[in-house]
Amino acid sequence: MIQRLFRLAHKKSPWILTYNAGGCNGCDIELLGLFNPRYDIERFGILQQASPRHADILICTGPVTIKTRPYLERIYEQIPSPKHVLVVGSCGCTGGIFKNAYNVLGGIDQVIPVDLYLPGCPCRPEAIFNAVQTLIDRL
Amino acid sequence: MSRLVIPIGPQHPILKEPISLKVEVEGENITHVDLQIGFVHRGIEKLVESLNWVQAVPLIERICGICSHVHTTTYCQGVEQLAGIEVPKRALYLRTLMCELERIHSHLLWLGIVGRNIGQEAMFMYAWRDRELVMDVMEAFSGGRVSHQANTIGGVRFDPSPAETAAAQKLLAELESKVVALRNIVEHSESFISRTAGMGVMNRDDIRRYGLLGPVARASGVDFDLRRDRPYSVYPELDFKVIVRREGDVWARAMVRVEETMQSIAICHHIINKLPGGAVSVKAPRRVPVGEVISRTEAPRGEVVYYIRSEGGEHPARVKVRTPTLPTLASFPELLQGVSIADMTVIISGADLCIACADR
Amino acid sequence: MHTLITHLGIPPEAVGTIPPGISSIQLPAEALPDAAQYLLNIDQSAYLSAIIVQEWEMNFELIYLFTGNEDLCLRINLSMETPLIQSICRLTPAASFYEREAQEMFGIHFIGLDNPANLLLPENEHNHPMRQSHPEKEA
Repeated sequence: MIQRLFRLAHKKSPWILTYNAGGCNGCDIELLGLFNPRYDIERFGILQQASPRHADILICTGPVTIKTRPYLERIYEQIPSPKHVLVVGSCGCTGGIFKNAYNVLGGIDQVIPVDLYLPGCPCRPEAIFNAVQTLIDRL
Repeated sequence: MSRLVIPIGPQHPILKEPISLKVEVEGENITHVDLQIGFVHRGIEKLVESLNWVQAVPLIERICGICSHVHTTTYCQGVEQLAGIEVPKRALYLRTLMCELERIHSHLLWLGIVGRNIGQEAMFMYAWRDRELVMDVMEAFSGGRVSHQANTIGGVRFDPSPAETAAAQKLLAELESKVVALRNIVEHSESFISRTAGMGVMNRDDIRRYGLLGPVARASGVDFDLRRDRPYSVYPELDFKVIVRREGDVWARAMVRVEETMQSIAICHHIINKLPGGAVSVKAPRRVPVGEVISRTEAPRGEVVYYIRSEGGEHPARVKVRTPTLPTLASFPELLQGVSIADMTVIISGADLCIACADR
Repeated sequence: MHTLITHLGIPPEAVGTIPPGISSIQLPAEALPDAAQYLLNIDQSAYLSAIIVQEWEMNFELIYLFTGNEDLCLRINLSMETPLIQSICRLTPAASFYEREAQEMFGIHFIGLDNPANLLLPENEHNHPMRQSHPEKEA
């Protein structure tokens, strides 16, 4: 019963945290574009959070670089459970165009478990919107 | 007074991209800044060497998402010079049109971010709402909002019809009236001025010592714009004003950027009106003759320098990218010295950082 | 530029151009601080634009690009066994980041560099990935 209540509460207003693990910034500006008046994701109660400790969904962009790896792990640890990870962008899914670069480890799933992948280079705001919605529906 | 070290980044709400600042404060004032970058360093300069000349274009586009087009423009311009390719006039005009659209998009994006970071959410909403118009224009032309994939060696990959350019002009006219409103906010709004005026002042000497570029330098009275002073592409045929201010603070940088946005809209109209007919690209050879070239363009944040060397093969032998954010970052430890910790966010966002460009 | 040539006594064969028409001067490594100082003094608008490093014919070549009233490149050859050069970050702090990048990427040692730590690579990385001998990542 409490579990169900918990999940219901979780579904209503998920708070997101964004982190660029080494991408080109293209997906990040589209992500931020979700908060502008045209797309306005906030009307669904989805808020951007500053601290990992307040977040439910971690949205990661970009491939993981060697230098950013410990920070990404730490951010993931700091998010309270239940937590969900959405990867936005082709390079976050597999390493994409940067796969063979010397400083790139590969996709986000090399470091932390991922719930949903959204390929695209860069992803359109509508697509990110849809992915967040899909993730919420699965909760 | 006791000293305290505050770590900021790599994940921090004022930073859209990861950098790390270890800020040492005494009371409210910053005494020392330890700056770390390289979190998004991927090694593109090395990766380019393993690709052929044309394959390198999409990779170079992904050095940075905000100024993606200007990077490929600089690269293609350099390779075309090396290979001696005569690019059709129409292609050059369309390429320049995209560069100016990108400048509008980048400056409006920055204005929104700075508004958000100084606590004016409304500014963010206005600027990003208006920015969607220019995104629509870019999408109609090239099919991409952020990465346009518009350039190729020997020309461009889009060819708008007269109906499409007319529709773009209509959107740009609508945008112009909105940018005028934004400029009025920046110029007259008491709350914006009091938060930005007198912050992060740099004089001409600082600018020169650190080699700062673009709007940051022009806000401190350095009258230098690559588009006018080292003319490339079709800029000699266009008339525009280089915006210079003398105050050197964050407010002056904001003013320079909104005025530049107005100029860019005027340039876009000018280009569309003058747009010549003909082909949009010529075939590029697989091999590029031996040689070297320094290709430079004025990106939204300042001068981008590419050094390209060919050994006559199918691959570039060396592509060196120098982006304008690197010197800006270099100036931070000195710029933030003695500043109150509350003003730090304004100064950092006022510089318009693009970390993906700087780290490559 | 002509005053610099006479000031340093540079032979005419050391003067060239890099397309599109930027003059270049070949210098021995010892002459660099003097030349840079002189350049920055005679032209009040000159600043250091970039330091380009490349590995070429078993040598390192450094190209210092100065932008001012007149653009100028100073080209310096260094041997691969002893890549040593005087740092110019005391003359212009702009050089600091470029020199640090050259140091970690190619292993060129700059004497008198203000902060010898890695700039872009992880702290413990000393492999100089931009060298030709650095292995490419397995695809």
